[in-house]
Amino acid sequence: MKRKGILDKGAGGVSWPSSVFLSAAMALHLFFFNTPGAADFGQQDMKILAQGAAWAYNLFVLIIFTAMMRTGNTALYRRILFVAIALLFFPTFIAHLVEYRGQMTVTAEDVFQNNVPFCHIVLPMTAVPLALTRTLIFPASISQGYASFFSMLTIWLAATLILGRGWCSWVCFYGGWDDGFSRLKKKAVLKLLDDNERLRYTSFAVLIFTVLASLPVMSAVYCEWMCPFKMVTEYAEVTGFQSTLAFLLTAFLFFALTLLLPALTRKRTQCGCFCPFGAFQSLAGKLSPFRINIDHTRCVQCMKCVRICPTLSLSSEVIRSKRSLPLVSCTLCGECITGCPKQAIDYALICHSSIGRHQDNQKSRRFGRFMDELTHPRTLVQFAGTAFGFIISSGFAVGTIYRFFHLVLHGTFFIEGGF
Amino acid sequence: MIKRLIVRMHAVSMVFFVSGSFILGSFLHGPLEVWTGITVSPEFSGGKVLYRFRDAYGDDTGEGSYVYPEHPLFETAGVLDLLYYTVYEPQLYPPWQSIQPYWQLGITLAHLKEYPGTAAGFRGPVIRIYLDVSGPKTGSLEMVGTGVQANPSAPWDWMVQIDESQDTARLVLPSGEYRIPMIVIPEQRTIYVRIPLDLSGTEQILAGAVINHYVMTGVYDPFAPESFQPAARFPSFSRGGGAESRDSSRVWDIMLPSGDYCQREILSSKHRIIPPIQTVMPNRSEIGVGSLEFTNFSMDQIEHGLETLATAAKQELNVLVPKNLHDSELSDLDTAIHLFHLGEYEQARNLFTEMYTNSENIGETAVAGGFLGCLLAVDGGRSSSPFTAMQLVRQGMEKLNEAIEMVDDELHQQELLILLTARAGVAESVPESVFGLRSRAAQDYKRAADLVGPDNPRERAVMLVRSAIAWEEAGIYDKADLMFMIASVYRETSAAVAYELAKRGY
Repeated sequence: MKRKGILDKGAGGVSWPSSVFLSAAMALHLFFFNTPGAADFGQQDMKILAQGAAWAYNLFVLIIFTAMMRTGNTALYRRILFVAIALLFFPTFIAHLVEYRGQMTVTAEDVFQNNVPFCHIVLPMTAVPLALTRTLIFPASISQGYASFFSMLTIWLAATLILGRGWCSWVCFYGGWDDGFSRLKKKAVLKLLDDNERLRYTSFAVLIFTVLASLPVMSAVYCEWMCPFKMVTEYAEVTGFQSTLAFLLTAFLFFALTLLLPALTRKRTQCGCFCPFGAFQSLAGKLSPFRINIDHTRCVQCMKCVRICPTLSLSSEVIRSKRSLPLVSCTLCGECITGCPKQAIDYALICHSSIGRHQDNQKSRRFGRFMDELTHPRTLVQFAGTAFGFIISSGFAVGTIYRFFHLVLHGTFFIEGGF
Repeated sequence: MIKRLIVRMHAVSMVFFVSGSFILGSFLHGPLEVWTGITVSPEFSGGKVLYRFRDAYGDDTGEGSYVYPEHPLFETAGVLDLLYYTVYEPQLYPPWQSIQPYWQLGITLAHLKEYPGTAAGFRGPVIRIYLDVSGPKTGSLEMVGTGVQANPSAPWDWMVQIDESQDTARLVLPSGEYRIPMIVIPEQRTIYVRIPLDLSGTEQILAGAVINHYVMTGVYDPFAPESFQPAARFPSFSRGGGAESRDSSRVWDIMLPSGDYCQREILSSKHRIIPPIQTVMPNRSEIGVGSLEFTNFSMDQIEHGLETLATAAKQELNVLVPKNLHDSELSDLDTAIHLFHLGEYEQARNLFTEMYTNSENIGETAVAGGFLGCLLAVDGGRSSSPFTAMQLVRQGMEKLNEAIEMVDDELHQQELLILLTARAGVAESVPESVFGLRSRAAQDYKRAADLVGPDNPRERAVMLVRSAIAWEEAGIYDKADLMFMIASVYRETSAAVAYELAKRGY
């Protein structure tokens, strides 16, 4: 049997005219936000390679997007992009710190000067103190420079209005870690999470705890003590017992929650069960118009979707009770859509079921079908998710590709004066 | 059907919002900061400032005659010149994994260059802070290596030494010696030290404690246990000069309380007993209420002297503003300018627009154009949209820049003066964190002061003080200090000037 190519139309994929139109729109978006040659690349001899890095990343994202549209396999291509974002993000993030600060760790000077990059995960912990005191309990810049409070806030707000908790599967530059590791093995070795579905609510407990704990001490407790992703960004300088303890704790959590447990359980343990921002985003995600919809007229209750859902957002109870929406922790990752043998699950708009896109209705007019494909919720989620993921990642991704060129040609990953 | 259409349109517009939101968001960051008034908690930078003491600029000459060593480290003036000494609120529950509660002190020098190769990031000076935390009964008078002695009424108990040898400072307590955290911020020309408050005896600085501080600088000698290098009669590559004898003081600059104290006299006297500067630690509940910057003055002096000066300054301002425009024989341009200063913006705008359109006089056109720029900035200030406000202020500044270019020649000195003060007025009124225009204001006021010249001392003094305040707000304290010092010559000419100077201890 001939194997399907990445541009062959699959179930749920769009027709050629639609995929050409959407790819062109995406190309415009990519080249607008990441114009090769627009940046000041410093060393003249590396200019072509820097432009090459920008071209390479743009083309990579464009191919992934086109394949996703054409084949309809949201889960696979989203995951490739999402893992790529996580892997391309951290080398440049850390290199940038080393180039400007001299080291990866947060120094007393950075804290003193409010030079610590603001991160979306810390948003819920800072919200209540901010409302009460009008002060930010995080040593970041308010609006100036790189990764300021307001830059993260506006990105988060826009992404939340569009994708809701889809942030956790399309935009977050950390999520690719446990997403990638959860797919290393074909079968789950440990079925701990399948038997303890209530673990999906642990992240809400972590959220409540960290928000409440941050209030009396007026400090972002999760960020200081519990965030596993400090291992791939920056952690406080280890200078004594307290900072050593914090380092060991975050290192343990990184190893356990984003590498080991996802690999053993095939679930996104960090994002689904621990991340307080994920829980926060589940609530904020109600602002998004997009949902996952289950068509119970097609569902045969095989429970495959329950088994493959990486964030424990589908349970056998949901399927048996014929609820049309998954649980609140759904991240719009698309695993259930791709995995459903009966195509009973798809993206939908709020208050509206959308199952049945791409049924080849020969009677319908061609233009009508074209418009239907363009405005279908699945198309919109795929487009918005890819576009947002790209906006968040492009600077870092291009930086990392360029740094690898630099490593090969100049023997060092770091660039004098930064990239 | 309609519902379906609306929801779909909503979703499609959301997708287009992806690119737009990012672009729009990047324009909004600055205005949002102004509009929301959000700041970062001061606890990260050591807590709230409780006291800030100022020392004169350019007095890093020890007994009055000391000169720096000829070593390249000392080629820039000011590396031994103390400008400010800042005392912070003790941090009992410090954030961000600081290991223990601490108390931060800051020393600002007139010049501080970063030397990345050195442990501490800076080179040249040795700084000592002696603290009397326990009153006159206990402590030591001897300040080893400095050639000076503590006041018998305030013997020191704790000593902090900052030098280039390590990237931590040295803390000497009755219970022993420790290394303590030190932060060097070259852009602020400031070195911060953090005294841990969990060491034996350190709890004394809490609530209500009267603390005497001695702060001094010298040339660091890495080979001498005393750390302070003596000055010779003549400077050499490694040694400073200007000392009368081998027993001269080794202190190049010292913080003195306000009053009749003279650094030169104290350091060159036989006994060299130095007076301390004093602080009282407020209770935590009082912090914020009792906080006061520039406290070289006693509270009595501040309360009585400043109150009188403030009243006089207000009266002076009232006299300066003409009450009735019709009684004055003013030209159209003067009338428009006065209307502008009185806040009658619409009337002023009409007059300026007419002059700008019809006048053939370059000076008049430029002034009218410049003030139309000021009015744009005023519109910006009144706008409820931060984004519009920023745009209008920028447009206003552009118009003012154009106007100043038109009259920047020998023939239009009067118009240039008016426009420089107008541009400075706008630059000092807009938020510094968004526009960063305080340095522009300071330069414009200084240039305006030069244009006014010594024939009009009151106006010159006002310009100099405004320049100094703008430098101060820009965080460039040495330039501010210089402007205040020049302005202090004209202190008697204006109550407002005297008030501003007195507030800061000049």
